[in-house]
Amino acid sequence: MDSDRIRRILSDGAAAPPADDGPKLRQVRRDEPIRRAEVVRARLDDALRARLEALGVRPAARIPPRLPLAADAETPLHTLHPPASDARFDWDAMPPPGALDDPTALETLVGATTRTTPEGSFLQVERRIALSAAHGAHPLAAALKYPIPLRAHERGPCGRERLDPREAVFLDTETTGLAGGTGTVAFLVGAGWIEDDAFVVRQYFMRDYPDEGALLTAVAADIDERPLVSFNGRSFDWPLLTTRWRMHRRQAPRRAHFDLLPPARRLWSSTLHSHSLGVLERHVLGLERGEDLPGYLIPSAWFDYLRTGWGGTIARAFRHNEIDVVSMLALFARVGAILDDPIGRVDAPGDRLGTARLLLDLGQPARARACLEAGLGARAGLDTPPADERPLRRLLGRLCRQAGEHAEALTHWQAVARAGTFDEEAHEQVAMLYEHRLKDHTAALEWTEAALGHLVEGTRAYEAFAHRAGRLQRRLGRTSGPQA
Amino acid sequence: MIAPRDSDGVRRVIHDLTVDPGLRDCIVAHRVLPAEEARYADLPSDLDPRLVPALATRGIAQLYTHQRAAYDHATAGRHVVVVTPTASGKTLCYNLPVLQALLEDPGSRALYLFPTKALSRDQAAELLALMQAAAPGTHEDGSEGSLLGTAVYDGDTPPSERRVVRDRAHVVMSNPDMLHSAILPHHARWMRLFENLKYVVLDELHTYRGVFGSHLANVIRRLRRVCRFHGSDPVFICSSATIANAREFAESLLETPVELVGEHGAPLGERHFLMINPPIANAALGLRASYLGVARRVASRFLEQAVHTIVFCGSRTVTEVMTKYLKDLFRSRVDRKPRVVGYRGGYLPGERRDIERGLRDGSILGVVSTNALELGIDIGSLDACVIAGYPGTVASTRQQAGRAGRRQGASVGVLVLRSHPLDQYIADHPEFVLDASPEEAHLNADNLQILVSHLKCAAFELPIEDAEAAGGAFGRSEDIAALLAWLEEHGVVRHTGGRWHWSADSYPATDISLRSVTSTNFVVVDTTRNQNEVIAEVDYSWAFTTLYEGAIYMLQSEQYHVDKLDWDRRKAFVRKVESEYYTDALSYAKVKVLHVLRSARGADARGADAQGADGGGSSAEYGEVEVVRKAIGYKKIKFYTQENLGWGDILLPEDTYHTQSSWLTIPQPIIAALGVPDRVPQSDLIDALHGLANLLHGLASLLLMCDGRDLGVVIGDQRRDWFLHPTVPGRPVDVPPDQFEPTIFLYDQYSGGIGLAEALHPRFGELLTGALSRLGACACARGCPACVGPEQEVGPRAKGLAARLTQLLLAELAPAPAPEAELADTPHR
Repeated sequence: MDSDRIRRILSDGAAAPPADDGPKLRQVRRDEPIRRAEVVRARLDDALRARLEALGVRPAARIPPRLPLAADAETPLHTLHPPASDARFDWDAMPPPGALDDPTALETLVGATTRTTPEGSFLQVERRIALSAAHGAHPLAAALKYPIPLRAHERGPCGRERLDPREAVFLDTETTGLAGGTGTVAFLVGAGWIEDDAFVVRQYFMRDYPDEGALLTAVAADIDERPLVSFNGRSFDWPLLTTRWRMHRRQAPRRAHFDLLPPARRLWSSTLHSHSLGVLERHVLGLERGEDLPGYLIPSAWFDYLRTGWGGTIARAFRHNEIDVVSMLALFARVGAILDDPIGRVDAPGDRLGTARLLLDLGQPARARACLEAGLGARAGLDTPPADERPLRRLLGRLCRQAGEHAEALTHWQAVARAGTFDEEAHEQVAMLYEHRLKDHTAALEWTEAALGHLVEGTRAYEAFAHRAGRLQRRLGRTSGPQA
Repeated sequence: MIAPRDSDGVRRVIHDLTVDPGLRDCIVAHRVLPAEEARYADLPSDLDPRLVPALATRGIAQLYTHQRAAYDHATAGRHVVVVTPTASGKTLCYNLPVLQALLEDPGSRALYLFPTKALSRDQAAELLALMQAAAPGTHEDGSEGSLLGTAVYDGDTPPSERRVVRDRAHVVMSNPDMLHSAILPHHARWMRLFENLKYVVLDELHTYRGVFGSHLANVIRRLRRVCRFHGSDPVFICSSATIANAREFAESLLETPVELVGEHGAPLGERHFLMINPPIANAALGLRASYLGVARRVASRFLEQAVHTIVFCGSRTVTEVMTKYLKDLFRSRVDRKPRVVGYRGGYLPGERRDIERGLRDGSILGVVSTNALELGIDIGSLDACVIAGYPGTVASTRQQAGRAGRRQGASVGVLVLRSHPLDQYIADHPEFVLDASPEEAHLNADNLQILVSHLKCAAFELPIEDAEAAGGAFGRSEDIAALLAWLEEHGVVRHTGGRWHWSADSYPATDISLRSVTSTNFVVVDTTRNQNEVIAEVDYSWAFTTLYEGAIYMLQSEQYHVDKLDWDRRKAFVRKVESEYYTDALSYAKVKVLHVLRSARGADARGADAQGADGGGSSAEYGEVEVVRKAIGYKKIKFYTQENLGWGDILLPEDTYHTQSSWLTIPQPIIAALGVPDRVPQSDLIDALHGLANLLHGLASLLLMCDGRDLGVVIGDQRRDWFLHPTVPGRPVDVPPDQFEPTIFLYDQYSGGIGLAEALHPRFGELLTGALSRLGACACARGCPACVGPEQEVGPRAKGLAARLTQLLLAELAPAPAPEAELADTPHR
């Protein structure tokens, strides 16, 4: 590129005014180290701009979604929790009109304080929610009753087998995008833990990129080596934070990590089509969020805040994040309660299958079986059509067989086979049980022939049953032959 | 299993060709390169003792000289580029220093980059075998393996294995696209690799010219930033086919000094190289017999003698036509039909893998290919190579001919020349291909579009420090801070705390393809019997000339009629047909000067207004231009007879893009000196200009290492008020005679430019000298396809006028006696 243009850029740059951020928005002066106005900025000369435009260079692939800023100010901020005695702020308290011109508007809106570490400072919000408070239909204190058993990969280096919520940190982040990679940052980290009779939610917020180092140091110090509870954090939030720490030359210690998403998918496998936190809140916790900033708008809310310094929209991300963290504790309580008493607490028969699978994941086959058996209409006194029982009985059949209870297994497989449309696996299982375990070759042949009547000649399945039929006929022929 | 080869078959066919009365006199050159002995060097004394027996298991007790030289440079920490022909043991050039480093410190890591996925799969197997021999070990599951590991990381690597590759593989094999889109943007996850990265291997360096190379140079800037962040400073080991400027090219890609290992020590069998100029069919008109016909005859001879043969063709269409011809050859055979297949870009991956395998195991006797097989894809070695038409560069010619060749036994390459100025220049000067050094490769890392793309990715990967932006640390370009400010205006980055941070909810690498400036492919959908199956993908720039409605699209010599082209959705719907013809598109382009960057005498004229370049100044300039391209119609050409069966219209929108160009403007004084318009009518001058432009275009692609299609040629004026094109009816020359200053533009046919025009500009003197030499050497009386074009197209005066014009331009460009005679003998000094 040509040198005189560079000279122009360099000489003009120092005198260039700061970029104009748009008509109705103010430039916000902030505390150190975030002084923007002093930045020596190369001003784009017209020739380069013209070349970029002529070449059709696209600065961005797409326009990010954005809320109209004007509408934000009208939106009331709801509260969900009665503030605990020492709560520092109230969501219902709208900022006084003058607050919007106050450079500390966001601090006022969310009740934040500046926290300083050797790397710098960031905003921190802390709120205590009494464990006696209800979050949806149940009090938060319910979580204390049921430590959750962990699966092998969740146990961390210490091999922790059960997770007591009092030891854990509940973690959720708000990020500049879902794409991941080193260019996505967690500008708001929410961490919750139980302290005495309250659930403390502490939020760490970057006012701008230079705050990140201090924020990450503080988060690392506060959560220390404590076990984590997250919602989809195993694949998203935690790797992202790990990346952020690495970018700041830190390592996150390995630890036990219980993620609520996989058990939620199991426990409400049939009743819920989506297992997002919002859906679980509504249907499992009985909670309505009210006016919430949708997750997909959160990145642009922060970018807008960076550009304008206005805290109205981004304050709603604090609220969103806090509800996420508190909902995790409430969901932890529900999951804990179900795992404690799977028979009594599962509502929908269809969910018993997922619950049993979760129990199997946890290495509890006997409880899995009990859970499934309780789901069968006959025993539970429920009006369950036999066809809906098929998946349960199918899993029961397998479990009974593994346990060597062949007669029980036979009952379940026969029920599957008799309920509704032809079921190849059930016929095969019944035939196998009769032939090999119960040594009733006549019955085995009957079931085999019944299956052949449903199958198309020449297929692999047909050949397998035909082979079995031939063998059974030979055996029956041998035993009956000499007598005849 | 390798099929037995027949050296005698090769010699027999060569003999037949040299005595064939129809061909005998057409052989303009027959060079026999004797078998070459191997030159060996001792194993390095510091070589890890475990590597000696490991090499012995592969039959290696000594190194070839080039392998040793590469090892010495790399282990001393010097970046190196090794130039070797096919099958000369180049992989050991990098595998050896890498293994040495891994054995010294198993914590070390290396990254291998291959231009295609297929290449990395080939190489992983080879390296793993050496690893097992040098550092045997047992896997967790008890199976035999190695303490060292290598793994391919590309789009086909299952997600479940990716973590293992990141954390465990000592050598990661990937491609530039994957590095760009998946590895660098996640570099924190690849910390183990980047903290310990000792070597980066860039194989097939010569393929990174043009657009791909301009992208790769930026990916390497990003790679080195990320390495610096993680505290490593890897040594780059590059391998390249023979190009003239391997060292300079590697240096322009890596932007750091690079050592060159240019001489190889591998043994080679006897190699024959023949050049055939098809016989003159009509002496008066300078018409020669069809080169395709001659190439077909030659290839048929080899195939009939069961000699494994590869035929290279210049374009996809010709490839398909040739495949059909050669398949037809064996159509009447009832049993044991030899397999002849086509191979080119656009085939689906599975199909290509099958062909590669068939070539390696010998079950395919003949393959017809575009330059897709020039790359080091492992197809084993063949015995004969027929090149239909000069491929445009000496390097390509040698690379293609190198596909036939083995360490022992005879092999042969046959180049069949077209009636084309370039090919005929070579017929006049066979030594050009035989002896001259091959061409140069070029790239343009500072192509504005490409640079901005990668600047975004770089900011995403690590915030860009002010010092980096100002100090030119991101490559050589100086406008980085200004470009970042522009990106900030659009809300993509944010400047704060002395750094530029990525500041958008997106992942920039996904929108940037390294293989093109604009990244939209067309898919070809076969609707025959309503199956709606995607049978091929076609690059955006090719769609204009291959997928228009009415076109016959050819794939594996099957013909498909293009029924519908959905331009917006990038889809072409085709239907299988039995056509007796194929189609050939006609298109034109016009050029407008936007910005003059350099004028002829080397003065820095940047920023000068385009209009400011008047006739009194220099006439050769270089700068940025806007190109408007339009496909206007197509010809239907009958198979075998090449009869023209008719015309069709192409109704496609104009394509506009910005690129770089070098141009020659013919100023009024020269026009006056030619006697136009007083003694010579202007139309005669226009004819001469067409002839000269074509000649210059051909010769320019000789000077630069480029496919003729990468470089466009247009005649017009600088403001695009008018332009001239032989296929556009009604020559639009309503220009007042005193303002008629025609310009010949030679421009990069890629948006943003790829460095060709820039490299051409200082060499206009050589170019014009070469043109004069061709005009002087051409035996025709008043023009033929081999110089300015056939007389009946360009008129009787074009040749003489073009020669006079060239002399005048030369005199103006280089008033002192220019090094004129040089081009004819050794065009590359």
